[in-house]
Amino acid sequence: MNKLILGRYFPGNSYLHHLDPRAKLVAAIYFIGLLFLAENVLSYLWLFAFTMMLMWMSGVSFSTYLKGVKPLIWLILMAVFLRILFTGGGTIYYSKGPLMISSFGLLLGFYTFSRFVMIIFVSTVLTLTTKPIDLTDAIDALLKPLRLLGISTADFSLMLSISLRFIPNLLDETQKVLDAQRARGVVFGEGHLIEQMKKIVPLIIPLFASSLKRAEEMADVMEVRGYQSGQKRSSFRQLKWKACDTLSMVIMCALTIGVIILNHF
Amino acid sequence: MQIKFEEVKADYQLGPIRTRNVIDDVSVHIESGTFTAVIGQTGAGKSSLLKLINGLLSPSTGLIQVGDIQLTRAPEKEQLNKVRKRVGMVFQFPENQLFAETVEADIAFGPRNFGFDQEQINRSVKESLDQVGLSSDILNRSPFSLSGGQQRRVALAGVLATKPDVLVLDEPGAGLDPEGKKQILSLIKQLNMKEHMTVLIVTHDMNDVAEYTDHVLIMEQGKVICHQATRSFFNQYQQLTDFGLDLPDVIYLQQQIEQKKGIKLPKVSLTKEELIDLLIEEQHL
Repeated sequence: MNKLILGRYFPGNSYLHHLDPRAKLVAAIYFIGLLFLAENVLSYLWLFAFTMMLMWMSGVSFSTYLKGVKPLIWLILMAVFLRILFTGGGTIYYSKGPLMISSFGLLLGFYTFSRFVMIIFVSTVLTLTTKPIDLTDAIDALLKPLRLLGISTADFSLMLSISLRFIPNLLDETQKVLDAQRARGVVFGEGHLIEQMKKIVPLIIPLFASSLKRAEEMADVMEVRGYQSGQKRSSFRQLKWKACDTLSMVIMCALTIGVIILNHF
Repeated sequence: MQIKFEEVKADYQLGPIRTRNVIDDVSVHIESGTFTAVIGQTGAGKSSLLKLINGLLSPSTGLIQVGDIQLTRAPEKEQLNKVRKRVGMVFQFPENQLFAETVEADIAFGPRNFGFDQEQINRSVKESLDQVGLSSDILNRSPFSLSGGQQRRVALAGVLATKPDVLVLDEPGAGLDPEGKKQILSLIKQLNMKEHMTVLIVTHDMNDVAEYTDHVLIMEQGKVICHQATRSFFNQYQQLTDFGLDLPDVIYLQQQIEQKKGIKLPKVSLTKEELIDLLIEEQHL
């Protein structure tokens, strides 16, 4: 529970913390797209260097980022192995039936691995340096065009901000129930798979019960305070686009040009 | 069962944020069979102190002794299991931990985890239900269908069913109506008197401290700044204001009577019965 880094905000005062959340969100999504444009080791290294720089700029220790990768490492390795085992071409080192280990496969495996890791690193940079509430504002701003199609984006971003808002509460509550059941003699993380799954029940049910209760209370409070869906509303926090935000967009362009050039080597 | 803290320091970790020394060099000796009130402001380290006793939090330095069980920086699993069996812990709003389909299954959860056999489980479920003053009719009902006060008692029964020697409670009366709160506290007092359970209770209500407890432990910024018998603590009630605490109603009343009548009663009364007796004895009534 304490290991979950993705989606956490670390208060700080770095250059990245001060960027407009819209700029950061667009840049992060763009960067992930850019990853699929990279075609050789050199361009991957170029992007990786950029990722490292972002991580350094965020002022958060590298080990924190590694913790973010840890929970997903098996998923990543699985994808990498599938890549390696099912890709042919180049020098073939070993083959059996449809499975083979080839130099192409190894290279693609390496690409897959770095892509995953960089996606996690960059999105972690985004969430570590952006308040969740700012992030939802950014999402709201970016979804605005959909309003022309008659889709209620305000509801969507409200839903998002409420769920983000309650993640810390949910974590606190999980910790409490965890402690309470431990005090009643449960030893978590022991025994075989079925046993472990059974132990989750006394944890999940109280959490569901309290979440449902809270959701209902929340809905009541919103209604009492006169919230109505589908109304046009203004925002208390106004996002401001600054020169450094434009600069960050320019940097993204430069990054793209770098990738295109390096792809030719 | 006596509890001993020897130069204990502890950190608290929630998510990525680590708070250093929430318990800062605490050495305390809590005698067997006492009923201790743990008082202090939010963030003073009261809950952490309770968790240390139960092994839910491990000290960064120092030693905690519960009976003959010793807990240190990295306690062994057996020690933890032993101490959790001996120490029953009731968290704030314990009804939030209820999960089973029936009240019976929920109360039996603790004893089953601690390896009671079926006969012992049945017996302890009945006994603890009796102790908290609920009838056995509700055994087959869902805990979620009960009222708040009943849920709290079921949760308490779930802890009592493990037959602990030490009971630690974090504001057991919070959020209950006065009558429900009184019932819970009197029940705990009875367990303390009859079964000689050592009880530690976090509370903010000085009336409860005066009425139920025999020792007071005040915490501030992770340190224990006062640990003495309740009566002698209230005897020097001038110091209460130093700690930023309110006077219990009874003592306030006594003070008012003394001022209005220009008398001085020989001792501080902790319950209203005591005050009445004192006044009769001193022939002021």
